[in-house]
Amino acid sequence: MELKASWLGEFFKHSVLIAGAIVVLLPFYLMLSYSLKSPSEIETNTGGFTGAQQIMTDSRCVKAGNAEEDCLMRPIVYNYTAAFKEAPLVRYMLNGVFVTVSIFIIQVIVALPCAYALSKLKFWGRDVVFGLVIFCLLIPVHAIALPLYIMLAKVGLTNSYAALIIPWTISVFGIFLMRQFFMTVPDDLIDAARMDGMSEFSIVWQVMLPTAIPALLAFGIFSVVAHWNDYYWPRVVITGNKDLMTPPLGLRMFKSDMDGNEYGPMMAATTVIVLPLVIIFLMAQRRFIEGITMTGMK
Amino acid sequence: MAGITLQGVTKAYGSQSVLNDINLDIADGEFLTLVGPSGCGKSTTLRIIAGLETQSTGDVFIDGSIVNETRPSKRDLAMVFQSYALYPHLTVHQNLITPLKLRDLTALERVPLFGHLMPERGKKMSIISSEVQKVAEILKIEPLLDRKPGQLSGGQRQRVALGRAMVRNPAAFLMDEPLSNLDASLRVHMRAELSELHRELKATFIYVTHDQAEALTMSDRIAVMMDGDLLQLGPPDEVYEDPTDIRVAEFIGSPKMNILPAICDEKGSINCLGQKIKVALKDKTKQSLSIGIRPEHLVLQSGAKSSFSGLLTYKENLGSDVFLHLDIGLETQKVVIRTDPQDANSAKIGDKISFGASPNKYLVFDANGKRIDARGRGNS
Ligand SMILES: Nc1ncnc2c1ncn2[C@@H]1O[C@H](COP(=O)(O)OP(=O)(O)OP(=O)(O)O)[C@@H](O)[C@H]1O
Ligand SMILES: [Mg+2]
Repeated sequence: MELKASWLGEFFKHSVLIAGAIVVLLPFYLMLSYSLKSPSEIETNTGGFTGAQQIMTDSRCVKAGNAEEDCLMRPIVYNYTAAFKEAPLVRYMLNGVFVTVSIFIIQVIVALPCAYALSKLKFWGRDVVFGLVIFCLLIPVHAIALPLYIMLAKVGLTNSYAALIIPWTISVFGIFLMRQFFMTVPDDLIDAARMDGMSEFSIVWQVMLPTAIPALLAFGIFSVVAHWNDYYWPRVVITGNKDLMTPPLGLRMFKSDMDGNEYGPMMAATTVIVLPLVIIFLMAQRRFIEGITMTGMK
Repeated sequence: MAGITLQGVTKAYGSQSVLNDINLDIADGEFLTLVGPSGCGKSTTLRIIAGLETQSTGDVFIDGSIVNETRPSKRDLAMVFQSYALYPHLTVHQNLITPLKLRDLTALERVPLFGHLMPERGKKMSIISSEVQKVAEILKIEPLLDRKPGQLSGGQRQRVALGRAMVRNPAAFLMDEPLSNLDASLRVHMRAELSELHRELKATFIYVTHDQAEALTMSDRIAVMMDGDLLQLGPPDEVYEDPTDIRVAEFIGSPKMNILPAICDEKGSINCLGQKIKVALKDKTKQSLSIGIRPEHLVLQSGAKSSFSGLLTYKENLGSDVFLHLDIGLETQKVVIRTDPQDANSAKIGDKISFGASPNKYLVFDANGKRIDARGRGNS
């Protein structure tokens, strides 16, 4: 009896989890599938996951005055070449890399010393400052978007990389996360470094930073994903200058550029944009999970 | 090499006072042990000497000059921490060269990549490497140089921590319970090694422990601390045989000293557990006293008149000695007698045992726990 009950329980648990996984994965499945199929297959919803990959003619290529024989290609090739040809996708992605990496590096440069001070140094008002950090965690970015925009506009920084980067350089979440991690670093280690003759500044970069790699990696994933995928803020500060667009913003322009139902190339572009994140995550996965459990357990 | 002096050092955290007026004079090359129960302020004292904590009042002198404002790294001291505190991301070799690099290289020479271009760096680094090599040889950690601290056993880590202190060739070594993470046999072994190291280096050692046996075996002098007070400072024999305070008497020695309640009347005759004991006090006033006797000074006496007696509750056989635990009818106090195994043979649990001691072995303490100068007369 008992065995059966637990079997049922396991079955139930797994069904729920599998259903959840399907709900989460379905959009990605569709994205990938559409990026492989021809327009007619997408429209009629045939061809399974990969589509039949029958040779098709590129209507735009023909319109541009080429001979029909020159415009024959397989749907997968058509979708992905169109994605790169129709919009400066590479440029968008380089923008995205530059912006997210800059944000992350500056966030670390700001957050580590703050977290170190908040966790390991004793000074008057420390708890109040930490309280403010927690309070800032509660403020949604959208609430301060307008003042931020006005400030940037006043100093003439809209439509620049600076506008994309500066507002995110102080991450209270990063400070909070690193502070919690630093709390678990034994005081003796810091005292030993002081005895060895390290300045407080070197302690942060030579002792705390290396021990905090797992936590930093976890924070890095959060930060990079959030800013790589961010649509809202680039939309606010980048008005017109296409050269500064980040991938999500570019994607939107891409959509309005292309005529109506060109889902294939669009999904191909989306796939290309999502891919770096997936690769980074898979590479960092083990240490990332380590980082989260380490900050969570102690 | 340097002597270290503390003058009137106090420390308070907020309103809680942790150290009260500590005065210590540590000679150059001395092995001084700070010993006391947990929370008595040993680590705090050590950290004040190291400069990791600032005293509330008082002065610290190293080599005759005042160092109250001097940064830890400029005091030329090295510290070994209880948790070893090795850099977890660096190999043993890197752990050992870090303090030397910080001391001997200029800031420019320490810059990664760029520093290698500085002309003096190569020469300095080779000196540093040979220093590290020498220390690694002394401590027998050469095979471990390429490992990270996480891949070492507790004893090996302890050696590396010691090595990191030694490479700097400091004026004094500060050690905060460096052996407490080791198992019993390794601890005994390391005690001997530390003593030997001290003889070889001839440096000042300040050693913190809560283990009185460690303090007795290794030190030139012991400083017994309790509740933030420095109770007694002296060579191990003196502290053991001549404790000035009942708390010192009870803390030093294992098993603990036997403390028996006694009453002194106006005529100066002392009554302890119904027995008159032959000890003369200078100050003949009516007062309550405590009499302390070490377990090894108690002897079994069969049928003598003026002896104490108690019921044997437990025989603790250590092979070379046997400790007899006696119930003498007091709730809080048992008496422990150290005897030879032959003498203890006949004693059975539940037997009534008579015992006594020669009066010159009695230590008399007043009601406040302070030692009273008292002279015992004759051999019981
Ligand atoms: N930062 C602090 N704030 C408040 N009280 C403290 C602080 N650090 C230490 N204390 C108190 O000071 C007292 C002495 O601490 P200390 O660490 O010197 O003890 P210890 O003798 O080394 O004990 P142990 O053998 O357990 O290491 C303790 O009662 C402790 O609670
Ligand atoms: Mg301590």
